[in-house]
Amino acid sequence: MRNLFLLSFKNIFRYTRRTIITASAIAVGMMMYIILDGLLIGAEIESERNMIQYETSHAKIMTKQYAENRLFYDLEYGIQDPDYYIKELHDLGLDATARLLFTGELLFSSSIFEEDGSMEALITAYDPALDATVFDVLGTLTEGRLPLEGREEILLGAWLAEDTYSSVGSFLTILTRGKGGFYEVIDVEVVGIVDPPNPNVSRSLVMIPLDVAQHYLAMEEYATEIDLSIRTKSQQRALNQFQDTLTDSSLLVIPWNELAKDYVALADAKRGASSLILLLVAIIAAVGISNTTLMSVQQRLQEIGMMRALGTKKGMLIGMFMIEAGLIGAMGSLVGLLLGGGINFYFVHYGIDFSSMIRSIDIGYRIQSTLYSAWHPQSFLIAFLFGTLLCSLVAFVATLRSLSLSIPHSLRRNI
Amino acid sequence: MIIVDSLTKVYKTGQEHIQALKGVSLNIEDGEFISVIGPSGSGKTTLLNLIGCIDTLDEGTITIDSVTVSKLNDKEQSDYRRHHLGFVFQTYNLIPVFSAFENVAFALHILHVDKKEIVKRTNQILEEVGLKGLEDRRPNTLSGGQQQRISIARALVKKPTLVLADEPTANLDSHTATEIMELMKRMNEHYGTTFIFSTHDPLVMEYANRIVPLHDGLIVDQGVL
Repeated sequence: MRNLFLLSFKNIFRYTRRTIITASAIAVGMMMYIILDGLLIGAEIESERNMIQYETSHAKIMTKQYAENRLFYDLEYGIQDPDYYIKELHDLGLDATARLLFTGELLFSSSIFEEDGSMEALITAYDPALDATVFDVLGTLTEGRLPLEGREEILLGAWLAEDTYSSVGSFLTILTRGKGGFYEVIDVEVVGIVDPPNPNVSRSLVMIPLDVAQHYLAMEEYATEIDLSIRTKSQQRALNQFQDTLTDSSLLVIPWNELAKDYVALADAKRGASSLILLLVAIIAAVGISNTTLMSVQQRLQEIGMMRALGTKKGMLIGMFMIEAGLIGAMGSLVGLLLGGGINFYFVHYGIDFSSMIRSIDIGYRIQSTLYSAWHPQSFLIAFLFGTLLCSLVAFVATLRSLSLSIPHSLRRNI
Repeated sequence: MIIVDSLTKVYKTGQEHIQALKGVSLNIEDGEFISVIGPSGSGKTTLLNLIGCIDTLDEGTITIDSVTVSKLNDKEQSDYRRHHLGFVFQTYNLIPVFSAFENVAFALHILHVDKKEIVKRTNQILEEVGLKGLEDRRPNTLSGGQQQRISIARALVKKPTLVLADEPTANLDSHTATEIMELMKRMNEHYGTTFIFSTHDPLVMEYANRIVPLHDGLIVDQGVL
């Protein structure tokens, strides 16, 4: 066995150029795998964080009816006395805040006398005192100030403000329907611009104080949802305890990934597509390896014939070529991992600025500007094993083919 | 003792059928030093390949020391070759990345001989073939004659029953060819190993204690050639 390893090892340096070509093909494939995998995982981690912190929270409490038709934002199915539940949740050690979501038409105007256009929007009424305990939106204020309780003031997402030529001091009108279906018009002033790193939020966010919305929509003592922050295991246990003690069976606790099913499905689909890309990379690498390995075996047919004539077992011959190819694969993979790891290190710390692309199109990921890669040690292990085993497998096939020749035929071959 | 009985071998190339051996029979006693001679295409290499169990025959049998080797399956023939046969090739067929020592030791490694024994036997045979001091040299740094000496050492190191040498001197100049034949003869006498070699070099034939003349796949009188 030692002799077999020795021969395999020496053969690696026998055709240095070919070894370099094969190892390079593997290295490039593995490097691309590591970079792509790191970026995808980074995008998923950041998207998940940005969804939870700016869009969905960790979980929401809704009434059953509201949850079933939540895309209609029906005010008829709100939660009565949300403060009661919030207090209960606080007592259990959970951060929670009430929100009231409603749809309306926004009529924009750069001054109060001049109308500039309108758009459908989802408006978020938030509790100025508690919202920041669950969401990070208010912390991203870039201009102006936060709306004050009881005042007809709103916050806009930075991209929405830019798209609608709105700025701090602009006025706009919300045309909506209150509980029961009556029409309501709310004239509001833009007092602040927030710029959260979630593009979906920045593109569409309109926030108004909860008490103002409750007053105009006839939703006093009501909210459409209670948002929760669950950052620790003990908080998760507390939530479970809350669910167990929930006397009002009409309330549901829905985790973020269920609320963001569209994103989760999209992420899954992207992961599938990425796997396909990785498969293509693997195929390209495999073709490169196949050619060089096949050449290597063909070039040594006479040697294989000699070894067979001496009585070398077929398994030993196959093993010899598999070890040789596996060592080349391991070398290539290692180089690929080092290069990929180096580039990934840069992307982890400095990221790639995607802002110009993400500003104009929705790629599904909740990343606004810079995409940071992530470390995924498992991928390094997979890539290393894949590169090594792929080479060995190709060598196995090539050697098996050469062994189908008769020994005299092999001995006559002199390439 | 080797008994070759009515060997027939046909090579099929597309529509063409070439009968390389047409019922060759031959008895070889232990320790003989036999030269198979004949022009190109007479069947010399085919006969050696069949006796060496590296090719399949169409008809006939080959028995070596009471073992009908021609009836063994692929794996059994491989085992037989590993334990009992040695080969010397015209083009030496050494492993270029191995040293002279490693090339010879390879034949023992595949027999799973103990490491100490490998070192002892390899050094001993290399000394006997006149390669002492060149153990660490790779084949490409040695002359053709020296490479063939390694090949002979590799064939003999496992103490085989039979050594088959297909035109062992064809690539060597006459002086070196003489040296190689003297070496093989000496080894034959020293170890009592049976040697069968093919050649069409009259100088080489002189060393044989029996000549088997082949012509068109048949054993003929030497006068025919």
